[in-house]
Amino acid sequence: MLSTEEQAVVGTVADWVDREVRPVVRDMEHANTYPDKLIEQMKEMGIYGLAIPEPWGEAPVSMPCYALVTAELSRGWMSLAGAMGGHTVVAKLLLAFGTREQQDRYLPKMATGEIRATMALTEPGGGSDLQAITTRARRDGDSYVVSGAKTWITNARRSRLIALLCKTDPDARPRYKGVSILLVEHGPGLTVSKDLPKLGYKGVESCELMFEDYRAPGDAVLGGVEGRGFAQMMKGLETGRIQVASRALGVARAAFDDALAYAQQRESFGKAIWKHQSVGNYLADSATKITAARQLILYAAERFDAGQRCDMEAGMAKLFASEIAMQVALDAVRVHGGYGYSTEYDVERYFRDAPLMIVGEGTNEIQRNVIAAQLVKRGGLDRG
Amino acid sequence: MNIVVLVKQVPDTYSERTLRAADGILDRAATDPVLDEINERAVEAALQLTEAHGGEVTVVCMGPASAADSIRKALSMGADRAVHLSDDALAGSCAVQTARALAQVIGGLDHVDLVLAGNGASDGRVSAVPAMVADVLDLPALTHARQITVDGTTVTVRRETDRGAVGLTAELPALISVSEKINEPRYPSFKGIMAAKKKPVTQPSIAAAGIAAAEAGLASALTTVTSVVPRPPKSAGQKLTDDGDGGAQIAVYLAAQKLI
Amino acid sequence: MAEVLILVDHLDGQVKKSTYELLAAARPLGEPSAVVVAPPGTAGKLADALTQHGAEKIYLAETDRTDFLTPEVDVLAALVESASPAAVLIAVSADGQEIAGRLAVRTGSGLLSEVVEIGPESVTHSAFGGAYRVEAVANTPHPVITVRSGAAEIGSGRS
Repeated sequence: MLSTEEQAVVGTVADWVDREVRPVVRDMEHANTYPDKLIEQMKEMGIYGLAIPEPWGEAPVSMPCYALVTAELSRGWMSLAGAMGGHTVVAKLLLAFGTREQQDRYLPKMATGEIRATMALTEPGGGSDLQAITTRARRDGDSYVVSGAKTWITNARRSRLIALLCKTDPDARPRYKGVSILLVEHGPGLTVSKDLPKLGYKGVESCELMFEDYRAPGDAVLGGVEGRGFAQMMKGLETGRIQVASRALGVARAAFDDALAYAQQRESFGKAIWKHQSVGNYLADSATKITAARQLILYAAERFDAGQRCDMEAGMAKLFASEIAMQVALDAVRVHGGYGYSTEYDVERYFRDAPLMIVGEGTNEIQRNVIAAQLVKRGGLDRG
Repeated sequence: MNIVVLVKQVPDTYSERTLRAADGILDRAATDPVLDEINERAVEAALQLTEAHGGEVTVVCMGPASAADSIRKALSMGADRAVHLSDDALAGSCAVQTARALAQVIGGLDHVDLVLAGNGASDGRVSAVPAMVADVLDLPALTHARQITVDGTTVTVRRETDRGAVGLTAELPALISVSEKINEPRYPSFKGIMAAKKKPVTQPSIAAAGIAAAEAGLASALTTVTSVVPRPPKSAGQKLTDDGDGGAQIAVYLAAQKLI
Repeated sequence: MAEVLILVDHLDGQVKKSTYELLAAARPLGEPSAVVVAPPGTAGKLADALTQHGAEKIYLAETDRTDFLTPEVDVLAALVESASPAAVLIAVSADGQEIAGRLAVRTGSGLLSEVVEIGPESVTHSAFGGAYRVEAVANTPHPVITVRSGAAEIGSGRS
């Protein structure tokens, strides 16, 4: 159970979504318009500081509260949840692994949203095999020279801080020991080369980054010691998976809410269509899946806060929530009939947004690998 | 400048509001209670004034225990403290009793320069309690304000109703009630939500507030509801065929209903 | 017979229709007396119209005070004291409701708001957009009643 204050935080975001986002999202999304004003309001509310405690921030919240805030944003427009997700992961990385100097330099401004942050992991040739990344950071005097390319980096243009996964020692064996996270900012040698056109997840920019002899200061390695980046990133992905799962939950919830409302208004064969068993069954199944997803997300979030091992649980939450969100979105289209196919309704947007959570932030196939490996390692599921 | 804002918790206007058959009282437990939206605007107006001129904002609320949520929302927006008149003896108070009770509480606070309120509550709709409070306290009442200007100890408002607009000016201390047009209220920041729980909320009994028990609540209200009849379920209504005179037929109907 | 005070709503020498409705609506309670508060020299033209629509007595208070709505409250409060009316009727409007509220709290009178019908024993409200019809009474001698338009048929002259 969230505290009264955390319930009020989630409630404030929900009210804001209903009053400010839902009336404008359809047109903005269709026009692929960057939601400037909405993001400024998110900064004022404190969304960018949710993971940042004193002395750098003022109102951090628990992971369950963060998950529910993310779900509310996503219920209005999944892109808004995407505009703060990577940022929170980077904040948590700085908190867990950053040097005091790095924390002091970035966290206060990240808390207000003055500096927005994003992660850069995926490479054009690489995909899921993160140990095979080729972006290289070579030590040269008291700086690093970076070369390589990253892709599908959302918020790349508007982020002032990029947490870059790269090889500081390509010859290290095992390979992951040569990986570091470099904290980089826009500058000469770093080009945002193009914005990738997408099926959904509109409004926010997802880009390719090119590093050509880009120079980063010698103290840019997260935590100050090379070779720890892979382990750091794995920890960061726990937050990332819970975040993406929450995004999926929000989309599923929006799709279900619209379908439930529509099914009570629309009539056919002399009655409201929810009374036809097929339609009622879609609603019942969708609500059940959403309720289960929510519980799984909160379970993973609570374990995270308790300091318990939660990589498998976060992976389960991400896997389950993203898969059911796609199902719920499709079923919402079914319930709406022809209008589910119309761009004058919101339903089609949920359907286009849902697949991102299946393939992004670690594909669901990778999640299954992670879960299977953990099951063997832990000797199965916990009893009880 | 020290400002008091009057707030009220009301049933959500989108919910189904019910009157109790026994005594005609609004059933406050039956619906989701919210801070009346106009009060958010009054709090916003108060915060803007103290941000410009210094001072503090005290929220005053008469309502049952559940009103604590609405008070907390006002504190989350930035108000500094609150007085919650929640004594059950006040339940069922009429407008006159309410105005007197609120005036009594305000009168007990130090150095109040300005009292702000919304024009009217969305449940009772008497739309006069602010002016009544002002009358008891012998303060000028500047109501239906859509714009407020403070210059030293003088306050000016633009008062706008459906009759037209006038400018009103008064010397502080004064009371102002605001209309929906006054401003767009801020969303509480998360920092504000966290800080709200540390802000002081006093809950005086009626005795501590100086309100006589014999004059409080339903039993001594100046008006009494004697019967409550819910509207009968909707009948099918009249269908008109438009042969080009549809507008005229509608006009006849509206006139018969005394709507025009 | 008891008197009922009606606050006259007037603009530019014209009495508003709502006042005529109040003159008729007052009948179950007593004889309607019109109360006119106006700047000096303007009220003369109103008297005939008021009498034609049923006013049995007219009180005229001429004032050039600029304090807002207080003259109306002061005049009505003084008349409540001196004439002990059966009720005071004021048409629903932003100004009317404000005057009524202030008058009620000043004279310790029950305030019955947005009434749609006046009967000899009680008044009727319509609550929550018509969801309920509510009957109410005042527990004080001279209640202040604000009345919605349409509460009575406009009469013509004395009955």
